[in-house]
Amino acid sequence: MKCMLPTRRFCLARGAEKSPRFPSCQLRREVSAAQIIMVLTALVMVQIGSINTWAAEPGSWLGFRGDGTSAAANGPEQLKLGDGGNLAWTRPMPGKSVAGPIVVGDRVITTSSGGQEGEQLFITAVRLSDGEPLWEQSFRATGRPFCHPTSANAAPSPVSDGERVFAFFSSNDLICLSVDGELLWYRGLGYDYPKAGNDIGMASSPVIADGAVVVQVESQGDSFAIGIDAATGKNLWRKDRPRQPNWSSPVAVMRPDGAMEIVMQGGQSIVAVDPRTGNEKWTIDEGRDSIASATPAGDLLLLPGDDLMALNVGESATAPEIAWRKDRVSPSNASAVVSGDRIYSLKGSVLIAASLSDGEVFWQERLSGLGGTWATPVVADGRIYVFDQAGIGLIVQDRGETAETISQIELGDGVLASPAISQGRLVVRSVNALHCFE
Amino acid sequence: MMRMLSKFTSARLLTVHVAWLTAAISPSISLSARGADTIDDAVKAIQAVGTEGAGFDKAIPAAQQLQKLAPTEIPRILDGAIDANPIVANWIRGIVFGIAEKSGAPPVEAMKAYVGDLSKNPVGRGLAMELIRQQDPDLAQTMIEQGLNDSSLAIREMAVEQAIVAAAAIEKSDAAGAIQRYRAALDAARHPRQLARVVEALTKLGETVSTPEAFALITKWQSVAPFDNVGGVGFDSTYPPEQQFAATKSINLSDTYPGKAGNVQWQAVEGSATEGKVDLAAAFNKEKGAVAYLYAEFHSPNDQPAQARLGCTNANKVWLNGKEVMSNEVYHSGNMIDQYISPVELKQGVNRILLKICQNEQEEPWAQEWDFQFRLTDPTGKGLTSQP
Repeated sequence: MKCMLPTRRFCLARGAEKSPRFPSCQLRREVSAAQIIMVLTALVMVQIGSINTWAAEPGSWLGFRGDGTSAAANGPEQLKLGDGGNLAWTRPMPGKSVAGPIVVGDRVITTSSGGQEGEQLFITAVRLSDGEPLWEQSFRATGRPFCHPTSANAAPSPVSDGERVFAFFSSNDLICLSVDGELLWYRGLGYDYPKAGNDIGMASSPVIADGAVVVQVESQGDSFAIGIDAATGKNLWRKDRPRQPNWSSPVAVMRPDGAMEIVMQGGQSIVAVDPRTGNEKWTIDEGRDSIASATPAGDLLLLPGDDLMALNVGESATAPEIAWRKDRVSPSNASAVVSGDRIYSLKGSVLIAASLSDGEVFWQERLSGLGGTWATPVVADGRIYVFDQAGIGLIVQDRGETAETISQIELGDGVLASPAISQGRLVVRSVNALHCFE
Repeated sequence: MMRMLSKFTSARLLTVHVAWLTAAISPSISLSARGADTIDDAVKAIQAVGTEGAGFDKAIPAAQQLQKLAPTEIPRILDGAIDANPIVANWIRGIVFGIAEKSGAPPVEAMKAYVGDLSKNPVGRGLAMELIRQQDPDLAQTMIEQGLNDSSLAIREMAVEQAIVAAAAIEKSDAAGAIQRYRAALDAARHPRQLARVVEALTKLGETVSTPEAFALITKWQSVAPFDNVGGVGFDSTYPPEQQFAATKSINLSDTYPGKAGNVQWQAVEGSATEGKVDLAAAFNKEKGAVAYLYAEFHSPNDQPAQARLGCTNANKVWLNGKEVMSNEVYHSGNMIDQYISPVELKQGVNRILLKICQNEQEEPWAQEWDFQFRLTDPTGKGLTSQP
């Protein structure tokens, strides 16, 4: 976020170089050498600075669960269709999806899959403000496209570093586009490693850290985690993983000294690796959930499993220690959500609020009308947005020691993807469409 | 700062900083200087893309350069899809649609000519048809209608889809016409899901058509089981049938082998009439932790490239004429026709097929299936039948 402004300046400056309104000779005549030096120096510093840092506009939601916590500052106060409602726009999509949308500046980017068995891959960008189409790219799956009827090849959420978009699919196709839809590079991990994938469907979402795109491809066939250079598309490292199905996503964790780690959980252990080398930093020989993912929360890292395990993330030279663990708080399919000092955990149709500091439960609420849930909720300003696979959506207001459902909606299309919240708007990807509430 | 500046001329400072800036932003301004000087060179760089990022150093700037071209240049890029593997095909797709998004679609007439030129590569022609469909859906529909036997699998699939939709639309008003269209689609379809939909539709209309026949599934097998697979030991164990097959490229069906619980012999099993699925759980008393071998012979009229296609929710291996052609140690992770596909070479005359289908010990209700569907197809997916 911090380098948003310089990066925008850089882009504008590059455009200005090509603009007939600012020919270079005119520029040389009208400004002093010192001014040019300052400008050039700023440009170069921005170029260097953007290599390893994210460069998105404020409020962007750059990947599965945004920054990993599923929390934003502001969100809609209601979910209501029709007159007096707050549905800003809705737009049909070219295929199915259970992947969360992301928001980069004013672009909402979402993935879909279609065709006979999900082999057609789509990446679609629409404008956040009005839902107008910006661009769409399509590709063909080169890996195994099969999945359970309730899922889709478009299951992993895309991720962005603010300049590029990395769209990943169950078929292990990894596509890198500019935020304006230009193809930068394409990898067929299912082509490179043909036994990768499972025919119920993969779902682990990629994550970016230190200029590396990391994906967990864990199945009974080829099973591995891989770090790919975001700029060059080449393997930085590849690490064998247990040959078991695993749908949980890796998370990027920054230690207090600034060191980045990628934490991967699975049925046998928790492993942290260096994003650029894949070198193991620490491991805990205890199996964790293979569906719900870990949640970074300030000094803590929450790992779902039979219980919810909170690790204290200390200096990078040391392995984290267990801060607390509570079996009552662990989520089922959805991942835990953190906002302020609170954890929200969804177990089927039961929502639980607990303390981040010790896992003690504040309240537990069975959400009336809510069916089976897969989508990780999102939260803003004490309002938790929960959707089920039939398309029922609720806003649950956290009132401290109690909770209250303050709004309910029926989209008429199932939601299995975690929504995005950006610039006060809630973007919901249902199976066949994209919706924006303001 | 100003005193320091006075020691240098503005020009010298500018030179230093421009050089510094140039180095910093060189990836974006020196593409042509780095190799991809012409469109053809850039296309060649894309064609050279390999696995694990091979060739990306040249392909990434080439892709950026190509996406700056005018839409009128798209045919030259489509030509690059000749003999393209799926990875290269996706690069070309992304570049072509990148141009169309940024600079507009190519002229419809040019794309129409491209599709109509059968000397062009099938992948490129399929992409050209997609571009026509984006701009002029009515024209595309007319062209696709003629594509049931197109050499481009993509166009053929579009044509089959169109025929299925057209047939479904007249089922109630003109059943005979619908059947005629479905029959045409049945002959043309290569994609297993489209074939399955056509079979289902024809069956509902009272037509006699079966999945085993439509897919050319091999349904008559000799089987021997159970061999031990407790703890998964059987997948990599070379039990006597596969030892014999590897050594002699044949099976003696009168042989007896030591099995999991006593001697076992070859016996006939047959796939179901409805799905062609061979149910090993039924044939071998729902044995768990077990391996079964299946043997069949297939007569080919000539040497030909083909594909072995297996649908199986259990771990499996396939040998053809003594050579292993497929191996998947995956249990209870989906079950569908053509789940696993391997290229093979059929020889003229008798071809001998050995399957190894392994059941594990999972107890969940959804983990009790022990079955398979197998067929041989040509490289496009057309089912092949044995011709003794």
